Amino acid sequence: MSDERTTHFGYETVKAEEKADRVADVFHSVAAKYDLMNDLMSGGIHRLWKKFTLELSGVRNGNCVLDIAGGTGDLSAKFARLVGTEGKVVLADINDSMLKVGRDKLTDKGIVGNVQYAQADAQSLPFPDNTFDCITIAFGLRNVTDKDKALQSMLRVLKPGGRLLVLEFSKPQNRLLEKAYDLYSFRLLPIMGKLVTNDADSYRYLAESIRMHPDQETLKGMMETAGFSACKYYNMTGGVVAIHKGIKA
Amino acid sequence: MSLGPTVTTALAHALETLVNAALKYDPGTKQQLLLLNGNVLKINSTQPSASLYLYPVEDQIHIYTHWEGESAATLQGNLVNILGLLTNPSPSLAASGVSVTGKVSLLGAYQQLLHNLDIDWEDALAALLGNLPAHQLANILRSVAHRIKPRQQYWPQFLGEFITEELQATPAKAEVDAFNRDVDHLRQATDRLLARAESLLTTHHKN
Repeated sequence: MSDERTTHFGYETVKAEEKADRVADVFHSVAAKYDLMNDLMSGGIHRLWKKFTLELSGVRNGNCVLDIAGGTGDLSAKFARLVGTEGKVVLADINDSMLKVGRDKLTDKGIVGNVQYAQADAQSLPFPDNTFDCITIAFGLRNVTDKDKALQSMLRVLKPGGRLLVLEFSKPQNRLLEKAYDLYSFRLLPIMGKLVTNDADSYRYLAESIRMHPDQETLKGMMETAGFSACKYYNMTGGVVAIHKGIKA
Repeated sequence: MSLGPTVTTALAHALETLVNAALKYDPGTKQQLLLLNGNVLKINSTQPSASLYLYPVEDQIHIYTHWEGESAATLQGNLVNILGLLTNPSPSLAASGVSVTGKVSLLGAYQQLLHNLDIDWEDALAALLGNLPAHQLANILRSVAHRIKPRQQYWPQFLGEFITEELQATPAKAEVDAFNRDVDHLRQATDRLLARAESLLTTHHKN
C-alpha cells in the first residue's frame, strides 16, 4: 500500500508534492488581474485589512522587512515608504508571474532603491538567520503545503524581538455571517472569476482553500508550537479575516 | 461601545486620505512636516473613547488606530478640547482641559503646522476640472467669499433674531430676564414669609 503524504488542495486531496504546482497554476492564471479581483471580491475592504496589518507591524525608518507571498506588492509599497532609504523591503513570492506583476507595479510607482525581489518558498526561506525586523504574509499561508515548516522558517530568519504578522482568511464568528459568506464564496466568487478572468476554477479553489485553513485558535497554537511568543490574533470583519501576530523571543 | 478594528481602521483611513490630499496642495506645510519625521503623536480622547496616532513619515501623515512602541507625545482629554487646543490661534494649555505628556514641543509644532496651513484650492480644483475652468471657478468663489466675509460677524445676531422673532421658537432675552426677575422676587417673598411664620410660631410657643 502506498505511503505517500497527502494534503488538501481546496476540497480535493492531492499528493503533498503536487500541491505547490497546482497552487502555482492558479496564481499564474490570476496574476494579471489579481489586484482588480481583490477590489471586486472584497469591495475594497482588503485595503483596510492591510492597513491594520501595517499598524500592527510597528515598522519604522531603518527596519528590514520581508513580505512573503507579497505577490503584487500592496504591502511592500507601503513598507518601502516607512522603512525609508536606510531600511530594506524584500518582496518574496514563490510564483514568478505574481512577482513580475509586483515588481513592474512598484517600479512604475517609482518605488525603487530600497526594495529587493526574491522568488522564494516560504517553507525554506533563503535568508540568513536573524535578518528581519518584521515578516508579513498576507493571504499566502493557506496556500503553503507545510505550514508548520513555513512558520519555523520564518522564525529562523526573524531577528530576536522581531514580529510575524499573518493576514489570512479565517472563520466568521457569527453563524448568520458564516452562511452569507458561504453563499457569497461558493456562488458569487466563481461567477466573478469567470466574468473577469475567465477562470472560475481558481476562485472556487480560493473559497475551498479558505474553508480548509486552520481557524483562529488553531493557527495561534501552530505559531506557539513553532516557537513564537506573545501570540495573539485580531478578528476583522466579523472573523472573515484574522491577523495573527507573534514575536521571536 | 467598541466599533471593531474594521470600522476604526476605515475611519482612520478616511481621515488620513483627507489630510494627505490637503497636504498635497500645500508644499510649505509638507516641508515643515519633514521636521516632525518619525515623531508619533498620540491623541487619547476620553470622550468619545478612542485613540489615534499621528505618524509623520516624510511628507505624509499616517493615521493609525494602533501603535507598537512609545509615542513622542500624548494628548489626553475630551476630543472637542483637544481639537480646540490644536486649532486655537492663541492656545492656553492650562485652560484647555487637555493634559500633555512627553515632548510638549511636538504639540507646538503641530499647532504651528495647522495655523500655517495654506492649501492651494485652485490647484486642487485644476486637478479635477482643468486649469482654465478651475481658475474661473476659483475667481467666482473668491468674489462670493469677498461679499460674504464682511457680513460674517453679524450671522450670530441674525440667527438669534430669526429664531426668536420669526420662528418664535424661543423667548427673547428681555423676556427671559423679566421672567428670571419675577422668579427672584417670588423666591425672596417666599423666604420672607417663611421667616415671619417661624418667628410667629416661636413667639407663640414662648407664650
